[in-house]
Amino acid sequence: MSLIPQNPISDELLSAYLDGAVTEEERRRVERAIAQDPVIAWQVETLRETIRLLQELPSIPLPRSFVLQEEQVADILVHYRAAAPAPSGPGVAGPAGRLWHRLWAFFQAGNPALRNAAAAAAALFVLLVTLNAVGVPAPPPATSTVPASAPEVAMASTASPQERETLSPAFMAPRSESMAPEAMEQAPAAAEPALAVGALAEEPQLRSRAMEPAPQAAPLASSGIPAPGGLADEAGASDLIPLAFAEEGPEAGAFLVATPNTAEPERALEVASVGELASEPAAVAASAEAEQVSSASLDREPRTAETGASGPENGLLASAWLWAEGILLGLALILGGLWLRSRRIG
Amino acid sequence: MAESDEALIHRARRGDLDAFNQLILRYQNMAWSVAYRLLRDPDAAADAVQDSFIKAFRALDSFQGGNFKSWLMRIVSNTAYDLLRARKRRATDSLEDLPMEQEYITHLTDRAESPHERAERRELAELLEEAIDSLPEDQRLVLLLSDVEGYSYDEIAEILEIPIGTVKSRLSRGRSKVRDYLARYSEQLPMAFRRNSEVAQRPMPSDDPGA
Repeated sequence: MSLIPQNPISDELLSAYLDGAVTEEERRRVERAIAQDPVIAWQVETLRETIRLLQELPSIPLPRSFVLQEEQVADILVHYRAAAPAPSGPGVAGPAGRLWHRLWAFFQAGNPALRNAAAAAAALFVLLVTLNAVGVPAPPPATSTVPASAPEVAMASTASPQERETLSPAFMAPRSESMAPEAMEQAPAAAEPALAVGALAEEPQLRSRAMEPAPQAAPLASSGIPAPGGLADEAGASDLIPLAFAEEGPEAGAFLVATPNTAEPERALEVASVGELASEPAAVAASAEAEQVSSASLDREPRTAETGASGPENGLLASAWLWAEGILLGLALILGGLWLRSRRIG
Repeated sequence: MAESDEALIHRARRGDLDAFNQLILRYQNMAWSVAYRLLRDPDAAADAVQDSFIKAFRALDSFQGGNFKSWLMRIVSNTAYDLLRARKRRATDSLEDLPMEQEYITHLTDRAESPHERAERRELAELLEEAIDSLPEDQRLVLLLSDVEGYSYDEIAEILEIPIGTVKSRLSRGRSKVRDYLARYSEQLPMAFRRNSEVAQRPMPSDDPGA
């Protein structure tokens, strides 16, 4: 702080005086000095004028508005919104609600396109794996070849016995009934759905394809196969068989075909959707028509059909499934990774 | 009736960006003026302001209540300061990076243009801006916050995180220098400056290099 020569009154004191930020004693001292010293008086006066000019200084025109856009703070916005109590009520959301919101916010962040793509890929992968586990997918190849002759073999495919069991009974039952007339061979299988499950043998039969029954699907799926319009019958089945759809197994039915047979609406839907997704893996295509098939139901003759089916084709299908699964898994991982990254960046 | 800062902050913290933008509309002029007068570079000042608002929004959860205007201005001034320092590091040799005190003296001793000519050429506001520019940054910021933007000593101390005594001394030195600067072009100024303009010609005590 600088002192004015020959005067105990500092600039700082004068400045504070003009702001009214001095003690009563200081104020008296300054005012006395102003009265006695023209230099001090001038300083105070010019300082006061300077302050006034500064206060009146026009503001500088804004070059633009600095209002924030959502994308500039997207990540933090999500955070705030997630942490905020549910808009529905003034009350604070319970811990569960909060957790849910956070989870939701987590998934909402980042690039939505990547996130959705990753989710779709992961869903497809899960679907394929499930199909495999059930026995349907893998079966095509394995089943067809082996199954044709030996039921047991067919089972070997992938499906876990237990799973099959669970599925098969439900599906089987219906089929068996309808089928009864049609195929004798199946009859055995159908008759004892439970067994079927337990026993691999049945599966092969079933595999024959609940799907095929669907005439339309069959034709499409199977390249050349002329689907029998009627379908239900073995004949139709046989035709389809050649195509060797994955669906044959009862389990398969569960996914793709099963529904149809059972006639359960829900299942039918599932199947349909599955079919769409599966579409990628060529093999699956057939499933789409599962619904139609359902009604008809299937011929269990599958065996025959299967038998008919050539081993090599099955093998190809099997490997195709494996490839499809691998590719989808990889895709899901990559897209998921990209999405996570986009979250951070965003 | 305008919504209070507190209400807007409360909403903004729940992810209501519109509420925060209302706060921005409320204070962006002030933020811009301070940043621009500190940096004297429209692009850098715009960056500083935009960055400050984004930082403020991100840090909203850490705002403990109190004076939002001061809290926001602290972010703005810190951001602008950071830019200022970065700019200096980049161009240590440029004229603009001469120590401010020296620059100030240069202004005072520049006789190439007579005070009269200069006064005629410039508007009062320009002269004032020039005077403000001549101040060292720390004094300039305090003077801007106090006299131009109307913050109190307490608020400035909070914004800059310095003791009130420091606020007073920087403000005093800044005001004196601006006054002296103006006094050199007194023809254009109010009577107060003219009367004893010769007094201002004497060595100014506020020229302490340490200021």
